[in-house]
Amino acid sequence: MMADDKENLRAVWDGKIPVCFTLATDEVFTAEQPEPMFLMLPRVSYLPLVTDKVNRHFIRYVDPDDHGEMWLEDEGQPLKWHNPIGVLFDMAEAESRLPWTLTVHFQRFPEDELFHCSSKEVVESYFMSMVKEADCLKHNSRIIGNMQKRDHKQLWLGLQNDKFEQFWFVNRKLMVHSEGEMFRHIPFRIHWGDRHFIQKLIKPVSADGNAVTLGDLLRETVPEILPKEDSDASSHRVIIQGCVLPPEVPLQWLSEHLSHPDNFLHICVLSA
Amino acid sequence: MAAGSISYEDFKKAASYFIELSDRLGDSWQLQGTTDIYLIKKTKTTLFTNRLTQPEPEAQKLRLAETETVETENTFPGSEQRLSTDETAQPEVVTLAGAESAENESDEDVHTLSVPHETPVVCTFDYHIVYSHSYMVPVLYFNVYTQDGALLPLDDLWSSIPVHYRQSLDRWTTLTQQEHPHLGRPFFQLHPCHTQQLMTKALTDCYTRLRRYMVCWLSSVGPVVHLSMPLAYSTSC
Repeated sequence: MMADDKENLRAVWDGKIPVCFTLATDEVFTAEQPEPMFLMLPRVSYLPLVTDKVNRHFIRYVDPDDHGEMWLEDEGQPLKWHNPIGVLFDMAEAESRLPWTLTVHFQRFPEDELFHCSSKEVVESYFMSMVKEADCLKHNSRIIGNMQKRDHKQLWLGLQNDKFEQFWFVNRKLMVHSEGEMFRHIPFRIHWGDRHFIQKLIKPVSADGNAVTLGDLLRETVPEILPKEDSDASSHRVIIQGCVLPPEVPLQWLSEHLSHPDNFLHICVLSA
Repeated sequence: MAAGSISYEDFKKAASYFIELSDRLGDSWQLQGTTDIYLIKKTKTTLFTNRLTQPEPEAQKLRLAETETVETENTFPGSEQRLSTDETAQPEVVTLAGAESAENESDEDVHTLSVPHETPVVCTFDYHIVYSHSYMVPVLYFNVYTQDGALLPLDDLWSSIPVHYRQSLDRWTTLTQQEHPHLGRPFFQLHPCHTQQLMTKALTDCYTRLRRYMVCWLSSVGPVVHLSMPLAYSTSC
């Protein structure tokens, strides 16, 4: 890992979002109204890993005989906790309305939209399934398959406890590629509107030996969002880790530097 | 391509062979999707569980429903025998769930201990076979609904899995909720990371490989989640 690489990775890891939590008004059971709660949430983490305090704070105000699993909503949209927080934030286009205000619910869990999350093991299980799929795409499962169970645990605990060094000590092994030999495929997911994610097989190098770029990936997967030939105006914005990136950035670089801890590049497509 | 995996084109061929076979045997697998295809099957199965908290009157209704619906929906013409043996070979009536402590007792004890607490619950299993481009193998997705339309939670699902599978599988790496790749809704997924390996061992004869791929794979992984395959599949493919 180069020194400036480490700074980049650290900056991505340290990205935080100011969030305000309020309890759904129709779920307040006590005479006393709960105070809102403010937290800075890491972009690269998952909601169930950082909202224990929110749960403890608001559960005192709901009907003790009629509440279930906590879930969060943003302007009518239940938040899919299995996506990294930064992806949820970018998709919500909430940078113009900070702090990002989320509504806390303990009733009517929308199980046709959200995964149940009874414990942190559920998050770990989903997270590891993503890491495994990413390594299958990058190295035909060679690296993850040769790792010890304790390496898997260290990767997970690094993320859960917000320990950059601990996480990257293992994660850099998943990012290896020898000189001239890049990843087999780039693990990515495109999030666009409320439809399901788009995922395809894309190699970082084309058949004629050129680096495949972000622009190439978009042309291959979502051609309808690119500007028409007779117009310069884009109808859509493409955001990765909160940043708008030029289309000529090589995918291999993006995958190594701007992937989330699950080793996937999460690409958000928004209307311009 | 690695042994045991199949390309998407081959998956489509294997899927259409499989549908042909299903139609011939009177099973109910259906092809869905146009450009990206997947297979679906719905079936009703009675689970005996003491974890589920069914109100009493509802439980009584379910007990009646069990005899009416399950018999008809799960009977294959001329296929009394099943591919696998032991627990999975029994009809779709599964006794287990939450009786973990009782499992270690003698057979006699299991009956006397668990029966008074158990409630038969008719569940609808919604199975989907979807191709994974990442792993280059078919993947089994499924949801289990109780009669009131609620999803059976992971705890209940896990405890209904035949005990010998539970002992050899890791709960947290075997079953996870995932977004259905074509529908975007939460579905349970049997993790595909060992499928390639399994199919390398299972399929050595290249000539009939695609004809047998789905039957061979599904009869290996299906019984984990109550999807048993009539013997007629293996004798006809």
